[in-house]
Amino acid sequence: MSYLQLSNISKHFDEYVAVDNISLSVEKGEFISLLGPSGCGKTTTLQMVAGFLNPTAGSIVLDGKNITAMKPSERGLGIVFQKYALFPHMTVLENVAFGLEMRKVGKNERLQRAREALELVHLGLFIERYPRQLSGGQQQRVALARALVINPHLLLLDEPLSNLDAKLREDMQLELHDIQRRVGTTTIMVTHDQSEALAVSDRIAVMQSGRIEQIDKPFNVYEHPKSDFVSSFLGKTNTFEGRVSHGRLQVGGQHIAVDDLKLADSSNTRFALRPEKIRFCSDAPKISGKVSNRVFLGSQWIYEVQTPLGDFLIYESNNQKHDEIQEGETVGLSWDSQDMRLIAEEPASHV
Amino acid sequence: MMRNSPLALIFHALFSIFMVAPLVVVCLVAFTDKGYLSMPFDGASFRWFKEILERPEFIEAFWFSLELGVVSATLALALAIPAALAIGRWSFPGRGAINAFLLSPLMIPHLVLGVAFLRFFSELNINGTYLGLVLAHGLMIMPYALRLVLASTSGIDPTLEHAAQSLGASNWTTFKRITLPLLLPGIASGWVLAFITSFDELTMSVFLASPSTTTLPVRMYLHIEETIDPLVASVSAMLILMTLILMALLDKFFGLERLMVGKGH
Ligand SMILES: Nc1ncnc2c1ncn2[C@@H]1O[C@H](COP(=O)(O)OP(=O)(O)O)[C@@H](O)[C@H]1O
Ligand SMILES: [Mg+2]
Repeated sequence: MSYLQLSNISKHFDEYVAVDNISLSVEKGEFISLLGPSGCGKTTTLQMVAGFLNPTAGSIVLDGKNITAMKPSERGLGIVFQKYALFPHMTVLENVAFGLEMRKVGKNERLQRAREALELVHLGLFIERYPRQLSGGQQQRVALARALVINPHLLLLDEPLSNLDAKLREDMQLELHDIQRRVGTTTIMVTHDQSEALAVSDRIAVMQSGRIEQIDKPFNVYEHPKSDFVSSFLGKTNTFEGRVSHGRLQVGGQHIAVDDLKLADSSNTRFALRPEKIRFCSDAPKISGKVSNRVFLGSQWIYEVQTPLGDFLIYESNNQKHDEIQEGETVGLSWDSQDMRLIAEEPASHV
Repeated sequence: MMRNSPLALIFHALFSIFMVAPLVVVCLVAFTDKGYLSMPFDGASFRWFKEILERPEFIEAFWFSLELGVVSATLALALAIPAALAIGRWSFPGRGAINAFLLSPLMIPHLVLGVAFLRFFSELNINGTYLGLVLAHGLMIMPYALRLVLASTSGIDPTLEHAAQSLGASNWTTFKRITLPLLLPGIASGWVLAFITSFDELTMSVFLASPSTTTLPVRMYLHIEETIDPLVASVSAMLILMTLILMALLDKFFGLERLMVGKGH
């Protein structure tokens, strides 16, 4: 059995179903992200694991023990709250030592361990300050140290980086990843930011409307989305519908060669194609279109191209040797057929 | 920062003068060397301050009022803290009604309270007793304490308590180590305000005091009824001084503006 097992967990607020029959297994040492849009039930799920909310149905088993009805104070979990929730009347060191004090660790040992935890998050010099004297990023680290110092069975992070500015957030993503690897604590992180989830997780559970749509490694969730929702929520994607007959794809009055895809005949099939998989080409393009917009982002260009299949978004790294492509220009587009994803959710009769 | 127009400045200045002038006059009169109420400009002395020391009934009433204030303010806080936590932190049916009920003594004239308690306490046979005064004062000043404690409960983020629990703190430990310290400014200022209100109360106490339970305001009132001399001015000056010291202490430790205006941290 897995280290943490959520089985058929639901949470209803009166009539409203916030979490709808979720099951999730987490292995020891794993870093799992719950990713989904705001209001999809991520925090509610985390709060049930933490013990601040009682599930309406289902069970939570941690390390072989059923903790579904256990008090939060007895679960031994480390939690980092979205707004950090540092105790304003205690110094940084006292904040971090609090959990050890509750565990009746002797004074010298707990101060020693709290200092070590603060060094782990590079805050060794700030231990005598009060939380209000720290920046957002520093408070974030104190919260992390406070959660980790008790050697929690599980580390729960609720949107831990969402209050930081963009640059700091990227740095903290890497650092969070690094710290979790070093400490090895099993971690569940809630986030609505797909790049954050992709960057730090071993596996991502994509949630929508209280359900888990897909759980997989970041690469697989991105490359092989199981539903329309997953493919559009993680990164940008171009979608189009077509009809397959005799192994050929018919889209918007055009025939597109898909020989190597081995498609069965179907009346209506929906495809997703990532913007970075499409390239410009002058001979034998799959389709052609007109560039309606382009944006330079430094490391890459973003193009919008009007095609017979609809408006396509195209990413191209700033490392291409062809002539500059201007707005209004007509261009040929191509891609590898394997990069087209059938979206399972759309029922195509014989796939 | 709001910019004050000259007109507003003049208004505020006049208002402040209007508020402070009587206090200044009383303090000045306390230093007169005459036997009647007069300004000390043609002869100042500490005569009337020394006079206080020769009036054991004033000293006694002072200590009695002090004790009554401390006991009833503490009683009021003991009621106000749990009430403020319940009203400020949870929503439950009848919450607004309970809040209004607990604040209602603020709206009843002290004269009415005095008559009502007099009647009620006679029924219970505790009229004129220390217990009666403590109960009446405790009830009358409770809303002041409640208001201030309530203001500070709303400033506490409930996730702080979750954080403490997740770190292993029991409910009681969480209250003791997290909630209570964060409520402390509200509790302290609520206590001081309740104490001052009790210490200062005359209208209601006149009905409830007996010769063995005479508060300082009642003693002064009885004195004025007999004779008007600068003694009441010197006693008042001492009280004003005491209030100023209390306020200064409160400001030093918690910041008056934040407490009274209810600004966040
Ligand atoms: N205590 C509550 N009472 C009623 N509805 C709630 C409560 N907590 C959350 N909800 C609702 O449940 C849904 C999921 O909330 P939440 O788990 O916080 O979403 P997320 O963290 O994914 O943004 C939301 O629609 C929210 O309004
Ligand atoms: Mg949330």
